[in-house]
Amino acid sequence: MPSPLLLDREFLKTLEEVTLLCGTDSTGFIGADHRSRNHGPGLEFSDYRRYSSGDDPRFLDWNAYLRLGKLFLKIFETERHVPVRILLDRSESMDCEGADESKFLYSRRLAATFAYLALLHLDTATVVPFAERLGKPLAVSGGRENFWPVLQFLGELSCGGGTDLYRAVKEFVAMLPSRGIVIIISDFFDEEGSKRGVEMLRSAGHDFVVLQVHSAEEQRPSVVGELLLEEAETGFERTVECSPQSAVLYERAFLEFSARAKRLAMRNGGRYARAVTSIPYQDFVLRSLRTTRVLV
Amino acid sequence: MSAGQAFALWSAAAALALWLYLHHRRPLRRRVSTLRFWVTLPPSRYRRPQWLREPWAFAAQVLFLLLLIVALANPRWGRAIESRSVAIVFDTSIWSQVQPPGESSWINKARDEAARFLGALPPSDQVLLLQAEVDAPPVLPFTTDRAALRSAIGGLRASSSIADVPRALEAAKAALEGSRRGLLVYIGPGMLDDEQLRRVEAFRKMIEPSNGSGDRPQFLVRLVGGPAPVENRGITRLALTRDAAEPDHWHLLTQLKNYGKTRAVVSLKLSGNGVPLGQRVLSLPPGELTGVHDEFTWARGGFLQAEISPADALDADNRAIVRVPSFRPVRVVIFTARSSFERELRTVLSTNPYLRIQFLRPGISPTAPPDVAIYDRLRPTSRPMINSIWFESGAPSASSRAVRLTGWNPQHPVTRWVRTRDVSVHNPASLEVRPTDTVLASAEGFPPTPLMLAREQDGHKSLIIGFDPADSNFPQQSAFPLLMAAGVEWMTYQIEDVSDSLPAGELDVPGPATRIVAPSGKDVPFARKGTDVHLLALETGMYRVLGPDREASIAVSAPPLLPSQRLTPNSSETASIEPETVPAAGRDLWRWLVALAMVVLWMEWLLFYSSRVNRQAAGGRQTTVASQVRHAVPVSERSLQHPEVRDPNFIA
Repeated sequence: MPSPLLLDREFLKTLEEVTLLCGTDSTGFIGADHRSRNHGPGLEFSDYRRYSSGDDPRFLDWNAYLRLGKLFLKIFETERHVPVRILLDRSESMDCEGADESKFLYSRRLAATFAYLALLHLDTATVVPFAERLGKPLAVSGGRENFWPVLQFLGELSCGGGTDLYRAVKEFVAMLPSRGIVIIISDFFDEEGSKRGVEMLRSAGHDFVVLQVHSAEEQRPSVVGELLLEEAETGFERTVECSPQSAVLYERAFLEFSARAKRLAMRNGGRYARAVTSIPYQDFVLRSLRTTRVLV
Repeated sequence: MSAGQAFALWSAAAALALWLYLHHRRPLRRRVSTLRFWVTLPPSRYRRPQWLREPWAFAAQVLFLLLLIVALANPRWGRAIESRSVAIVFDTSIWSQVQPPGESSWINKARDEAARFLGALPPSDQVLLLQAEVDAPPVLPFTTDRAALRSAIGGLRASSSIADVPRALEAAKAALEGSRRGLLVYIGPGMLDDEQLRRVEAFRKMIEPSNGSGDRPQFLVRLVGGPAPVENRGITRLALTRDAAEPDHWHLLTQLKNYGKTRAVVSLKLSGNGVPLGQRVLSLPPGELTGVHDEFTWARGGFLQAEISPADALDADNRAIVRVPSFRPVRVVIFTARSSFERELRTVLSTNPYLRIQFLRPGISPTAPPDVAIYDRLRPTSRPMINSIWFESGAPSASSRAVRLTGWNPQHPVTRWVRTRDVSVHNPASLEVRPTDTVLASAEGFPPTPLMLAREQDGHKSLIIGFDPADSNFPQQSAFPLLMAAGVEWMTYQIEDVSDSLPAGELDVPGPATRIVAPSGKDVPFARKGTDVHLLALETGMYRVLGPDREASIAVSAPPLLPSQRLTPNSSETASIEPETVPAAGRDLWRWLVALAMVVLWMEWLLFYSSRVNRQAAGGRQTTVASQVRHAVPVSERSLQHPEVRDPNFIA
């Protein structure tokens, strides 16, 4: 059965030219493509140090010994596995259909893209859906041949429940304590939970990326007149009078909220990108994520 | 539509409009991800729809509906001008020419009757005046102008054609379909034949009220003339037949009818071009058709007139005229040196009474130029400029075998009637067929060998026969005289064998014509049907048909066998005019009401949307002021002009 998240072949081919930028040292297994601060067996020369007994004599620099008469040991950088964790918001607020593509579908495509990038570099990709609590995760590794289960897993996900990002991050840290890249894909409308969750990720030493996904309608409502609004997660209702002028005020409030989310990510050492579903996800991945130094 | 109905309709429409207004006020329901940003917008003053937010617009809407419904009810204003529709079928057919001794003619009586009828009608009644003749156009359309009607009735002249009263009544009824009830009246002598009587009965059944509702027009009959039978004797037909042996000898059939109830003795006079030909006295039994046969010799052509006397009530059918076709024998000269050929041709041509034949040896010139020359195996150095028949044949051969003549051209007038397949010829000639030639007959074979050609060249016609009649069995066939007669007729002219008097009414006469003048001197309208013309001849006598290069005359006589039964009106048809209740009416107001309704509808739209726009603007201003107080950042015009959402990661 084809997955509804099917990423087009050209896009996947283009992804081979980009890499997920790892901002902090990670604790993954040795052997993947990512450079790390750990020294050890590897191909990339890093430094010299004085030889001490017990060091592997294969790494002695005999040329330096001939010039200086002292034994120096060549030190190489170790290339490590970087676990990529994708926290995907599947709360009810992600499923408000608008004129553009669904936020949840857009988010799942982004999640699939990050998982593909991880598998492409022989890293471990873990997709963790969450709403009020953490959902059942899917972990894959071993190269892009194992990408299909990710698509299948994401394709079977559906929205439901409210959002409690703090609780989800708390459970996530407890479940996967090792450091890695954490990509949180959400609308972050749970602002208080987001703040506490991001701070918890920073405390746990994760390199995290905050990906705020929203629709163009959510940024600037296009309808005018009297609206009876129902909040997706709580069912609360509010009646408002929407005019072009008030829509501008709405957008200003939204942009302020986004700015706060960005400051939250930056202040805690993470990275931030905002995705609008009216923009094709390919453009967002290949242009915006490069601009925001998520990909290189 | 009564006032109650209009009120009920308006109430329902107003209730629907009210419901729509209240329903429309319900805000648009939307499901959003979060309400956190919407709190910056002013809350709606919307409550459950218990009241109207645009009362003036709603009032305009209700007023619009009221005006529209009132317009549908079509109220009127002012004095009543509604009128009744009346159709008068005025019979000016040949019977209206009747003038009993000591009385005025029936057409005058009919005029008087029509004037009396018009005088009895209310002035507001609009009257349509129709004639009862076949294909006669309406005399006047519906009008209330009594002077015009009286003038039109006074101008009507009695025709010599037969009326189709049922058809005129049906046309009048159709004209009254749009009116409330209407009045239909027939004024005239009411002379019908059996067929017309039957159709009038059917019309009466159709028009009589079925349930007393009075929705059918009142039908009245006003007959003119007394109930006594009309003493009239008339010539119904005048027909000529040419004698088969003597072409200038004619057999004349004169048919007369006595329409009266007593035996009548009449004198029948015949004259040709004004020259008396004979006279006889006849006794006509009542109601019978009598045929009289006469013979006379007349070669000049012209017109033969038959006239009966003494005069009776109807003068139009006391005379009839028929055209006598002129006759001139066709001169045929046969040039041959062979006695056998002369014998065969003499046998054939001498049986044709229309021909004057002369046999000459080749080289001898005839005393007068012939109409047709027949050449036997002759090839003159120059082609003679006359119509000609050429007999040619091939070189005689002892071993020649007979050839069967099978392919006859059935389209050409020369061989149209020749069907025989038993003709066999010897020594056929080899004919040269020119592109303009028509092959009339060909011998069997593949391809067929042409043995008879028709040729038209330089205004003359030729018939070329490629075999010797004496060397074939053709002279023994009955087709041979037919072929020769048809050939001569094709080259000269068609001789008319019969002639009949033309009855008044619709006529088709040979054209072309540019003008047709009736016996009274009036121009007669006509229609072209190919080269013929179609006209409605309402008078008897001589009509002049003026063509582009010639003038001809046609004689029109009274129609044969005039209708002779009198319509018997029943009591309802002879009753007086029933007053028709006409509702009070005035000027139609619906146009003004619709225009006013459109204005009110526009006002409703203006009130509704201006109210909404004002409210939204007010809400926007309130929010802007509050926002300015909080953020001191005004809403820029630029942000209003560029509502699209761009990639936020590239926005500074």
